Amino acid sequence: MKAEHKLILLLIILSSFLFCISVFAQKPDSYSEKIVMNENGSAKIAWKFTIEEANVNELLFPWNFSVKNLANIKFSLYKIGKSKTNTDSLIQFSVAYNPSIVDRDGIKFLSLKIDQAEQNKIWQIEFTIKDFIEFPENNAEEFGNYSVKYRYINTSFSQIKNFESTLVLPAGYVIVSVDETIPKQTEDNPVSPYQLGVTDVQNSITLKVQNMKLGEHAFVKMNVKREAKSYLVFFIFGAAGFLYLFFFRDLVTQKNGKENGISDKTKN
Amino acid sequence: MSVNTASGLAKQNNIQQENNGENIEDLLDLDKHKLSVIPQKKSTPSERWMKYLGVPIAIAVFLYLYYMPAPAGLTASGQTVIAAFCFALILWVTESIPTHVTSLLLMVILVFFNGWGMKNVLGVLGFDVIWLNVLAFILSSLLVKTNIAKRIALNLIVKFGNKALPMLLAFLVLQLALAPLIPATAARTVITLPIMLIVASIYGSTSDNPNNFGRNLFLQNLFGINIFSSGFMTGSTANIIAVSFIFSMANTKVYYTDWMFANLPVVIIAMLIAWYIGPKFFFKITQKESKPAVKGGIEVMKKQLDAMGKMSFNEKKGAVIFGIVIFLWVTDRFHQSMFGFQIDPVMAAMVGGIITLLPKVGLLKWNECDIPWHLMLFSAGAYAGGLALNDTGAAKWAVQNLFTLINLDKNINFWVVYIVIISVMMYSHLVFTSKTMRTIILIPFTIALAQELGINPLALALPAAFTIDWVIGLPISAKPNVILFTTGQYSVLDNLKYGFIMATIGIILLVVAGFTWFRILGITP
Repeated sequence: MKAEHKLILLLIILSSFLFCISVFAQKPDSYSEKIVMNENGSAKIAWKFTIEEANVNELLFPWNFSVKNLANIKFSLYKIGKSKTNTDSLIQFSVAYNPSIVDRDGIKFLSLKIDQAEQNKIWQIEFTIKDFIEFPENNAEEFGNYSVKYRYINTSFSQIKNFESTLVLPAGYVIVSVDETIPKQTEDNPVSPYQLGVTDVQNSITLKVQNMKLGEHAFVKMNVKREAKSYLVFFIFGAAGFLYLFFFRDLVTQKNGKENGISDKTKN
Repeated sequence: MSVNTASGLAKQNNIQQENNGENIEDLLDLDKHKLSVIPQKKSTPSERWMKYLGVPIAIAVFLYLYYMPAPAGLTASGQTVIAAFCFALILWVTESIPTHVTSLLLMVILVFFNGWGMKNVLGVLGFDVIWLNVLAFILSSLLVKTNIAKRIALNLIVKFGNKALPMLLAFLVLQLALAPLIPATAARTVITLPIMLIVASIYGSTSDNPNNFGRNLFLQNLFGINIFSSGFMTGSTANIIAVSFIFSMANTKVYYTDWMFANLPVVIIAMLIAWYIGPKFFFKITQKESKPAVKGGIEVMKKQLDAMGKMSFNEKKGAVIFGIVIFLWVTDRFHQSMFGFQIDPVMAAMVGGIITLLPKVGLLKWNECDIPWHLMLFSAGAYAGGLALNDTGAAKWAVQNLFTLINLDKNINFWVVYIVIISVMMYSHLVFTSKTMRTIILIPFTIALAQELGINPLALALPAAFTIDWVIGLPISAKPNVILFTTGQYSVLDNLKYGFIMATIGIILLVVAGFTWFRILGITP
């Protein structure tokens, strides 16, 4: 590539970057989301965030859900106030902020119209989407496991200082295994990116990422299943224990030290 | 032959040994005590009771842990793995069923109950530790067949006299000398294993009839190989990772000599204690066992050594083959500049194995290799259980819960925190099979805790790092343990009780050092 071509390309990239900066001129301080899954596959999602700076009247948040019919989604928008713990004074503002899904260069965002004066508040958006995950019986894999994947991509230029995503399983479900996460736990990054816990009596997993930049993502792939266990195992093991005690009683009843060859022995 | 007759014969042999000792040719002929043949052992009444109760207890524990509601923070597979591992551990300790069968059972339970995937479980048989085990026994067979091991063993006995304690001490000195030269603990095990086998045999301890000399010899070498690694910063990769954490998270540089001056004296004292208390308290060496079980005593062995004459061509050839392997182990840090690639200790052993088995060039035919496959299966199953504990997060969960239970807060005394950290670090090797994983999880946690409590991170993290290589409690705790267990010279219970007490002594020593030696060096306040 010639030098002038490189220069033109650089200018294009720089101008796009500057354009984007003007569009996404917001700086989220913290962003947390709670996704409560239901057994019918739907999920109730709550986003909570604070905005440090906002130079425009529109807030754009990466929209990572593959929802076919956006009209079905009802948003509830709350402004909580400055105190993060002051959840009693939730005030609904669903109409005033006009939340909508917008498409910018093929990337979907949730758009909120705001006043500049209202930055530094804690915001909460709640909505429910269908088909977050498929839980029908015929979708289960071995051992009744369901594979659940969730990815959050930061498609905005704004860096998210503290990102937190909590996935809450349907009631009666447990996490079998966490197969993959992004970020990964490595020697350079020894802190585990996820934490298992219980949220409102239901099992959950929380992913945490700090300073999430453009294009970075948080990802989890896990297996979940219903907690119920078959009691057949209990009876088989119990019966095996009793049978052992009966058939191997000669181990302790014979006094001359004779054994029936159950240990590391070979009969010749 | 019936078991009755067999045990009768064994008893007769023992009596004969007691009276006369055995011919040295018989003792040194390891073909008569092949590791690949499952030995017959006689149990005491208490051992028979343990065997009888082992299965029902293991089942009860498994069912309780498996059916209890999943604790918060633990995955369902983690819960299953803990239940299965405890089940297997009870069976290994009580030996209700053969250890290798228990391992196979553990593998099946892990897969059937969704604890760990089948590919993972079966894949363990291809792990480097299993390969190293196989290659170790090929190289060991080489040294035995060419009489190199016999020559070294006889030299050791003639030089160090014919008493058990000096002989055990000689091995510890050997392990101490090898530790800074060969960082790979498994490689050190492979080098010394054939000599251990011959010396144990001379003292009348074989896999089919192990005695307390053998137990002391193999377990003390297990301790020596692992614990001496903690005397040197380069003793294991995990030590270096710990030092890099201390540097990156606490901004404190620990130099090779800092580490060595601080911990080597502790390690040497620990090993001297192990050397003393083993034969005196744990596995008391009787008068009979304290001398070589050779008819005619040390004079016969001197004669035997003289009779061996100069090194034969095959001995020299065997020494060259083994020398190549040792050379590759010792020079590992120069491989990149020498060859342009790095040679792992397992690959170095494989090179030696290939030369050993090459027609005309080598010295062994496959049928002459004495490989205890049943114990490879034990190792694979046991390792699968240990790895599953790591992989499912169960080990991490157990340790984190322990810390939560202890509830360390800001007003707590430094020494309480110090003792808790050292103890958790030390005993955590019983649930972690990977030193690296243990280091990655616990050392950053220790540094973060120290920073939160306003303590100098070095004061906690460095002594905690000194415990990383104390992996001595179970046959699956580290690669040398796996290899040495396959000799059949001691049981899981022998390893557990001696190892657990030594780990406790290690904690006491590190606490005493914290009060005194580490203070002088400026590590602890």
